[in-house]
Amino acid sequence: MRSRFAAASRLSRLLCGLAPLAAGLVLWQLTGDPGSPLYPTPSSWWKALERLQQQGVLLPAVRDTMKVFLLSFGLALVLGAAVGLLVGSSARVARAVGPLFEFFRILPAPTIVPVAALVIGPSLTMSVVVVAFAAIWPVLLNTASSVRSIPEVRLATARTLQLPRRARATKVLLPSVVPGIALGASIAAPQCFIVTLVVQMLSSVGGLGQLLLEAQRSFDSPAVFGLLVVIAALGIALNQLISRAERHALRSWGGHA
Amino acid sequence: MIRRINLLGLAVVVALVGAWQLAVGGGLVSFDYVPAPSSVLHSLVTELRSGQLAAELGHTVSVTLRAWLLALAAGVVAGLALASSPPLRAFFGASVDALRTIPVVALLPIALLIWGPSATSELAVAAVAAVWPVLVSTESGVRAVHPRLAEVAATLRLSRFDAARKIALPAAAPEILVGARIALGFALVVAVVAEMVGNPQGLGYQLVVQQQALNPSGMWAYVVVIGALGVALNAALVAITRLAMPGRRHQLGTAGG
Repeated sequence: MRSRFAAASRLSRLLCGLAPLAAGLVLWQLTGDPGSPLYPTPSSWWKALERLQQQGVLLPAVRDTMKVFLLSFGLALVLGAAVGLLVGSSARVARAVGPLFEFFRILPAPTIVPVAALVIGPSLTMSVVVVAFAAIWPVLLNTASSVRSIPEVRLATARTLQLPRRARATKVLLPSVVPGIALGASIAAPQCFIVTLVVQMLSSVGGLGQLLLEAQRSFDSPAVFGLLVVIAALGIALNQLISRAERHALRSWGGHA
Repeated sequence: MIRRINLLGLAVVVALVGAWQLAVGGGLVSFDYVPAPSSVLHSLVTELRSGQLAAELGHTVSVTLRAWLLALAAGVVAGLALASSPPLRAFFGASVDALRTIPVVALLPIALLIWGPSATSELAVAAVAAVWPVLVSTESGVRAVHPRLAEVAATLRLSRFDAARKIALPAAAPEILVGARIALGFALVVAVVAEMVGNPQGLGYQLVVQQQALNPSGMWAYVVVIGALGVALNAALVAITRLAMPGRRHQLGTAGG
C-alpha cells in the first residue's frame, strides 16, 4: 500500500516537473509558424518523422544506432572489467599503465574517429571499436579502484577458509567489485551513446547520427527537430534502464562503493 | 607538496612509442595509415613552424574557455536557485533532468541550422554541454550544506544574496569545483566535435582536413595535440583546486570520467 502511495507521488512529482517543458512545447505549437525555416512547430516534427518512416529510413537508423551502442557497451563492460581487475590487483601494473590510461581517458574520444576511419575503414567494426574505446575507461578505472579498496579482512578470511582459487574469485572478488563495475557502467553509458552518434555523424556508417546530419545539411529543420526528439527519448530510456540496473546491482551486492 | 614522478609509468609510455617506432620505422609491420612516431613528430614540428598549429590551438582553447565560463556562471546561478527554492525544484527539476539527458552532440545540427557553421554554434553547444555538470554539482553541493550554517545566516540576519555569497557557495565550493572540472572536459570534447562537423576552424577541423587529405602523420599529430590539451586543462584545474582548497584532496579521484 505504502509503495503504491510512493509510486503515485513520484509520478505526480514527475508530471509536475515536466509541466514547464510540456507548456513550452504547447506554446511553441500554438504561436509558432509551421513553415519557419529555423523554428518549425512540434506538429511539423511529427510529420517529418512520418515522412522519414515512409521513406523507410527511420527504423533502420534506430536499429543501426542501437546495434552499435549495445555491441560496444557490452564490449567496454567486459574488457573494462577484465582489465580493471588486472590493473587493480597489482600496484605495480597500476603504476606502469597509469600515465598511458590517464592520457586515453582524457583524450576527447571523437578525435579517434577520423583515425579509425582511415585505419579500419568505415564499417560496423570501426564504429564498435571506436565507441568501445571511448566507453571503456570509466568501467576500467572504477573496477580497478574497487579492487584496490577491497577490505584486507575479506581477503584474509578467504585465505583462512582456504577457499580454492575459483571460489575466491566468484565469492570474494566478484561481489566486491560489482558496485565499481556498475558505477563505471552508469558513467560510461551516456558517453557510449554520444560517441555512437558522433561516429555516425563523422563517417558514413548509417544510423541516427548520419540521418540527423543529412537532415541539417539539406536544411530540413522539421526532420532535425523530430530526430532530436527520437534521440532524446532513446537517451532518456537508456539512462533510466542503466541506472535502474545499477541500483539493482548495488542493492543485491550490498555495495557502498 | 611535490608528487613523486611515476618513472615506471613514463618508462612504459616511452617503451611503447619506441617499439612502435622500431616496428613501423624498421619495416616490421606496415599499415597504410599508421605512420611511425618520428614522422608524426616531424608533422608536428612542420605545423608548429608554419604557425598553423598555434592558430588552431588558440581558437579551440578560446572557445572552450569561453563556453566553460558561460556555463560556470549560468550553472552556479541556476543550481543555487534550484537548491534554495523547493517550488522551483518541483516545477523544473524533472524538466532539467530530461533536457540534461539529451546527448548534446544531437543539438549541434540545430545550432548549425540557426547560426550556420560559425564559432557561435560551437560556443553555444559547448556551453550547453558544460552547464549541466556545474548545475547538478552546485545544486547537490548547496543542498548538502549543513543546516546549522543556514541558522548562522539567519542569526546574522544576512540577506538572501549575502547568505548565498558568504555561506552557501563557499560551503559548496569543493563540489562545485568537481563539477567545473568535468564541465571543462565536456566543453573541450564538444568544441572539438563542433569543429569536426560544423565550424571550419580549430584543432578538430584540422584533424578532419588532414584525414581527408590522406595525411596520416598530420592527423596523428593533431590527435596528440588535442589529447595533450585535455591533459593540460585538467591538470590546470586540479592545480587550481589544490591551491584554492589546501587540505581537501579527496573528491579529485578519476571516477568522474
